This record gives sequence, C-alpha cells and structure tokens, in this order.
Amino acid sequence: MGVISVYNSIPYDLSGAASKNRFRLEMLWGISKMFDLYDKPDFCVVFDYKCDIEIHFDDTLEFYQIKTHKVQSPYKFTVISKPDKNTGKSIIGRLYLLKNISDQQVSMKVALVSNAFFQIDKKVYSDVEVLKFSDLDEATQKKICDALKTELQQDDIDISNVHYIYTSMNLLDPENDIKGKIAGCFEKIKNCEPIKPNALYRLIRDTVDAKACYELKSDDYDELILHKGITKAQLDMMLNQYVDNTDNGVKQAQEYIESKYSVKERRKLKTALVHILEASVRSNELKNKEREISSYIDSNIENLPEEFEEIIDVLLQNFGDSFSVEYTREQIYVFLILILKRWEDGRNA
Amino acid sequence: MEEMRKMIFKKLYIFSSSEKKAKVIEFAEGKNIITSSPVDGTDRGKSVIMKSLYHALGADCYFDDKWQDDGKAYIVNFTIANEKYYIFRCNRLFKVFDSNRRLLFKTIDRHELAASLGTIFKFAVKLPNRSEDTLEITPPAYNYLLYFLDQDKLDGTNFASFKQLAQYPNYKENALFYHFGAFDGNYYEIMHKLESLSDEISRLKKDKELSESMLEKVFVSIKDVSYSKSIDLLRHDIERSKEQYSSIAKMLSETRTKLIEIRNEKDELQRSLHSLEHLGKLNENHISSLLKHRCPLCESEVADTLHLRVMKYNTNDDIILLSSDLQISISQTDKKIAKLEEEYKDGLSKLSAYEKSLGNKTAEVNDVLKHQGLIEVRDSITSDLVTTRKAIEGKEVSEKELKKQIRVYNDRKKEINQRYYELMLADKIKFGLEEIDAKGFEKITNSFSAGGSNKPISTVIWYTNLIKLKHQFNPDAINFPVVFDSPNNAETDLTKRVRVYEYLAQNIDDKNQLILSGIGFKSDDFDGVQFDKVIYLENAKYELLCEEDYSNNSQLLIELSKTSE
Repeated sequence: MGVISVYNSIPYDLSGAASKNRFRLEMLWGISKMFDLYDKPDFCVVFDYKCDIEIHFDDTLEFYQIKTHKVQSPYKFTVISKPDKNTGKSIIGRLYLLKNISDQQVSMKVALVSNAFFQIDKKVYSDVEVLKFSDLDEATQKKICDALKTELQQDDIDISNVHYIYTSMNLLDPENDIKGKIAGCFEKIKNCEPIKPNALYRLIRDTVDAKACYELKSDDYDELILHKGITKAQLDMMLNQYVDNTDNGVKQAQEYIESKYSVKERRKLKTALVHILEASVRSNELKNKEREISSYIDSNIENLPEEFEEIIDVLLQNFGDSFSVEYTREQIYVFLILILKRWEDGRNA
Repeated sequence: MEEMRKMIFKKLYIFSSSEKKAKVIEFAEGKNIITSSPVDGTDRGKSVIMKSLYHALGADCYFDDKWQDDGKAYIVNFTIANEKYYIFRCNRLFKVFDSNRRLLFKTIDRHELAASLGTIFKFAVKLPNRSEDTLEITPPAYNYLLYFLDQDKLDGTNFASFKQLAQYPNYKENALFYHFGAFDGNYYEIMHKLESLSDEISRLKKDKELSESMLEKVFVSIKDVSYSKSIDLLRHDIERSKEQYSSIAKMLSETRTKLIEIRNEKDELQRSLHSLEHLGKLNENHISSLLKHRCPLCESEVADTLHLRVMKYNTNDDIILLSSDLQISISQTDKKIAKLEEEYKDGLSKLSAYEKSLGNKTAEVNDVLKHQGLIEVRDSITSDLVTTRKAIEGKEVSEKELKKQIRVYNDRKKEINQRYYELMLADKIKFGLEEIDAKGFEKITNSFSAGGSNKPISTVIWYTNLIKLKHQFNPDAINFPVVFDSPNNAETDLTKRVRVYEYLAQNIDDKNQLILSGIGFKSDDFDGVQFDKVIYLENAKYELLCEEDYSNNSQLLIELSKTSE
C-alpha cells in the first residue's frame, strides 16, 4: 500500500477549513516548513486537510498539529492528554489516531508543534527542539501509552514516530518572521534578494491561504493535491513567475524624479506617476503603448543615445503626440520614464 | 490836409416810364431855391423834387398820396470832391455808377447800400445793434438826418422827416454824437470794455470780500486747534508707521498666497492618495477574483492564475510604495501649512497691534492734520487773495486808462453841449422865441417844444445849429447838401418868411450846398442874400413831369436801368 492509499484511509477533518475559513497562523508555520524542505528532491505540503500541516513524500507522511500556547509556561502533558468534553478526544489522542495505520512501505510521523516547552510530570524539556516520545525514559513512555490506551480503548499503543516539536517561531505574531524567512530562502534559492519581498510574501501566503480554505471531500488524491497542496514544482513555478514578473520600475522612476527635479516639479511628476500607475492598471491603451514602446527600444537600442534623459527625449519626440488627450505632458513623460526604467530592469512588457 | 469833403447834387432826374414823362432839375453848386407862383403856386411839385433827392440816396421820405412812387425811377447825379457819381433808384433797387457811368455796385439792401456808399462818402453812421451787442452800419437815412427837412414834419427836436428811424431805440443821442465825432467805433469799444471790466472788478471784489471773511474764520479756527510743534517729526512718524503697515500687509498677502498654493498642493496630493487607495482596493479585488480562478475583468474561469497574480502583487507593492511616498509628501505639506499658518497668525497679531497703536495716535494726528489743513487753507486763501487783489489792481489800471480815453469823448460832448447851448440861446433871442425855456438847450439830447407858429422856426434853428456843430466838431466828415422844403410854410407875413430864408442863407455857408423851396420867391426878395439858382416851376398843378424831359433824357434812364454791365 503506497502513500496515497494509506493517506486515503486516514479520516479527514475539515472542521478547521470549514469553520474558520480565514488565514491562520499555523499556515505560516507550514510555509516556513515548506521552505525548510526546499533542498529535498520532492515533496508536497498539504494545508489543513487531515491535519493542520501535512507533508507528503514519496514514502513518508508527516502530520503536524500546531498549538499556540499563550502563557509563558510549558505545555503540560496533562493538558495535551485531557479528552475534550464534546468529542471525547484529547489533542494527543487525535494526533495518534492519524498514524494508527500500519503499513510496511509507508513511514508515518506525527508531531505536536508548539511555542512552549513540553512538560510531563515535573520534567520540562527545555533543551530539545524535537522530542521523540520513544526516546523518553520507560516510565514516561508508559505514562503516555497508558493515557492513550485509556482514551482510545486500545491495548497496543506504539509511540514511535510521535513527536513534540518546540518552535522558536513567534506564533503569536509570525508574519515578520515568515517574511524574513521567505526572503532569506529566496536569496538562497535564486541567489538574489527579492525585489519586492512583500509581493513575494503575498504570493506565497495567498496561495497557501487559498489551499487551506479550500473545502473539499475528495477521494481523488491528485485532485486533493491540486487544491489543498503545494508541491516543490509548484513552489519553483511561483518563484520563477515572481522573478520574471516583478519589476522595480515604479520605484526607480520615483527615485529618478526625486534626484532630478525641484520640490515643486517633483510633486507634479509624482502625482503624474500615480495617475499613470492607476491608468496602466485599467487602460488597454497604456498597456499596448508600453508594449509598443518597449519593443521600439528593443529594436532601436543601437541607435538610441547613451544618456537616460536623451533617450526619454527621443521617446517623447516619437511617441509624445500619440497619446489620447486625457494624458497630460507630465503623465506621458513619467510614463516614458517608467517604461525605460522597467526596460532597464530587464523586464519587457 | 485832405480836401473838405462836400457833396453836391448836380442833377435830379425823375422818370415815369409808364407815362413816358420825366423831370430833370439842374442845381447850382451853392444856394438854390425852388419856387413857384406866389398867386397859385401850390401843388406844382416842389416837395416832390425836395424829397426825391435823399430818397434817391437811400432814405425813405413821406411822399404825398398823389405821388405814385412805385412806377418812378430816380437818378441823382452828384459829386464829392469833384468826383462825379450817379445813383439810380427804382423801388428797392439801388445802383451806383462812377463818372463814366460804370456800375460800382448795386443792391436791394439798405445796410449794404450804406456800407457801399460809406466807401464813397468815407462816412457811415454806426449805431449799437442791441440784439448782437455790436456797432453796425445803419441804413443811409441816418447819414442825412441833419440835412433834410420835410415841410410837413417840422416837429422840433425830433428827426421826423425820414421814415423808419425807430429800428434803433434811443438812437438820437448816439446818432447826433456820431455826426459830431463824439461817438464812434472806438468809443463804443471802450465803453464795452469798460462795462465788462467793471463787471469783472465787481466780481473780483466780491471774491475778495469772501476770501477775507473766510480767512478771518480760518484764523479763529487755527487759534482754537492745539497742535504739535514738531510737525516734521509727526510726519516722519506717520511715514514710518505707513511703512510698517505696508510691510505687514505685504507679508500677510504673501503668506496667504503661499497658504493657498500649498493647500492646493495638499489637496492634489490627497486626491492622488485617494485614487491610489481606490486602485489598491481594485487590485485586491482582482487578486481575490484570481484566487477564485475567476478573471477579474470577464468573470470567466482561469485555471492558472499564478502569472496574473504575480503581476497584481507587483502592482500592489508599487501602490504601497507610491502611497507611502504621497503620505510623506502630505505630512511635509502639513508641516509647511502649519508653519505658514503660524506666520499668518503672527502677521495678524502684528497688524492688530499696529492698529491699536494707530488708534492711540489718531487723536493727536487728527489735531495736527486739522491744524495743518487749516494752515494750508489759510495759505491757499491768502494766495488767492493776493492774486485777486493784483487782478483788481490790474483791472482798475486798465479801467482808469479807458476812462481817460472816454473822458476825451465826454469832454467833447460837454463842449458840444456848451456850444449847442450858446447857439440855441442866440437864435432864441434873435427870433424872439420867448416861450422856449432855455433850460431845454442845456443838453443836446434834451427836447424842447415851441407852440404853434414858432414850431417851424424852432425846428429850422435846431437843424441849422446841428449842422454848425458838425462843422465845428467833426469838420473832416462829409458835408451833405442841406435840403429844407418850405421851411417857412406856416408864415404868412412876408418879412417873417424872408427872415427864415435869410437866416438859412447866412448860416448855411459854402460848406454845404443849400437847396430850399418856397412859394412865390424872386431872387431880389432877399436882403443881402444871393441865391445862385432860382428854379421856377411853371408846370400845371400835379404835372411836374413832362414828355419833353423824358424824350431828352430817356437815354440815361435806359443806360442806368439795363441789367447787364
């Protein structure tokens, strides 16, 4: 039985996706985890289907349950193992159930992830990040097993591959940590800083959010992966698309204006830049013009002057009168600066 | 010395073309008498002849009803200083010819006639035209006033022998003195100037009085107003505070302008920011649509939205970038606005402080200004007064000069009156005209009247003495022929009748041609008086004109009456 059939045999829980339907902090941990895995040959991160975060490898399934602990005190086993009044299941019980399928070919791992250290009896495990329950002393193991036996009414309890993971990530306010992590990873992967880290973050986050919020009961594993998971290939594609389609033209145009003009002229040109940005989102004319002018620059780059200002002059002469009446001279001028800056940035519209 | 200008009637022609009759009378240069039978000599035409002379020269005489003037033509051949002329009259048409009978001028207007004759006579009476306030040449009758007496108009001191003399009211005095050389254009002009001078002087004097009384009031007011002695200091002060005000006002105005500008800038920035916010929302909506795999523009399903989303995130970042830049700019303009508002408030408080301090000064300034104003008024009035006084002085000098000139005229008038009185008094005694009060002679303009039979003689005396006065006081002016028609017509007593003629013959000397008329005279009737020509009319009653004279002289009539030259 492979990963797919094993996975399919696990009961799913869409209560999170269905009830919350909003971006959740645990997803950020998932993103972080996804970038941690980038060196692996292949993987797929599934968001909020059978567990908060799932990672599917060729022969391994990993399930991570994220629990934020708001007080600065360790997470006690008694709390983790206390059955819920309504469901009758404890946190650790639910997690254990996920790996309750025994298969020779498929390795299973479940983990409780928290921002607090684990405590059982009087012992606080503050020196380990990943605590494997099977590595604990006999008595402690027995205590855990007994609790599970009682809760799940099972005689045979195997706590190998059951983990408690302490994460130093600020799960109360993870956004900045994640942004930094994404940027750092991007740099490692693409050997350059992301031009617009915020846009990259939005790209990843929105994609993950969409996956997490997708409400699906499906027995088709491929369909599930498509809607709820991000594979390494998909992550690569996102990064590549980002590299290809992100430009710094507006910022450069803004800096150019800033460096070259007086306060009064700057104000005029900057507001013109705002209008141009606004119009270029809506107006097909401007989109077409940008294409036309970029292609003109491409074809004529040998004949164009050296200096930036001089090129703008040539563009003004050639295209200045071809715009519709609603564009002022300043707006046209700023638009040409923007196009040239984007072109210099290597982005051809 | 120019030769004495004396007019002599040489010949009189009276033509009646319709009857083909005429009368031609030839006169002697000296004394002439026209007479007829002492028995039955009336209505023979003496008066017609007498009246026709000056009638031909442009005066209008009172012809007898029986005399039809309309159809007649009169020609007088006369000389002035040996220069021969013809004058032709038919109704209102006059023509004047020279000795060769070349037309000198023709006219139907009496004033024109008088002006033209004036060039020949070198004399034309001028009288004031009341309506235009100028001196104008009168119709010719005024020239002959002294020289013609109608036997029916022996009316004392009134000129009654010519018609239509009333067009110049009170003409008698001016006309008389004109003849005597005591009234002329110069006199009239001087009088005119004097009149306007005196008007001006009295106006200036009124101005002067007014100024003096104003000045008096101003002096009183000046004493009542207290003032700072250091007026220059105050003026300096005012000047400085004016500068202060204008600098505050300038600063306020500039700041206000800047504030308006910068608020406009802020408004523009805010509008840009607003539109960016709007764009941001739109972009987010697009992203949301794409996340649901819907095309944000057409709502169709899009399988792979990654590319489009990346673009949108890119735009999103640009929006954030520009938005924060705009917000920085807005907060910068806010700072500028706050600074300018502070400046403006500061300016306002400066202005209010300035106005307050100005208020304190106002009373003092007002007093000083009032004082200064009064001083200026005083100076201005004083200067006006000086000017007025000088003008009055100047005018009075001119007035004095003119009055001096007028005095020459007035002295002459006085002399004339004096001489007139002497002459009249002598003749009163001579003719025993006791009923006439000699007081009436004191002024030539006075009238006197004699009753009944003395009226003709007194009239003759008056005329004769006027002629004498003319000779004495205006000897250079032309002497016209004296034409007195039957000056004795009231007398029945032969001796008395003769006395009038003798008187005339003796008193009208050779300066004037004399033409008299009267019934039943013979040349030897007069004692010691020699008439040069006695013209005896022997024609039937009312038959003065005869065919013979017409046929002998019609050539002249034809010649002078032809229309072309």
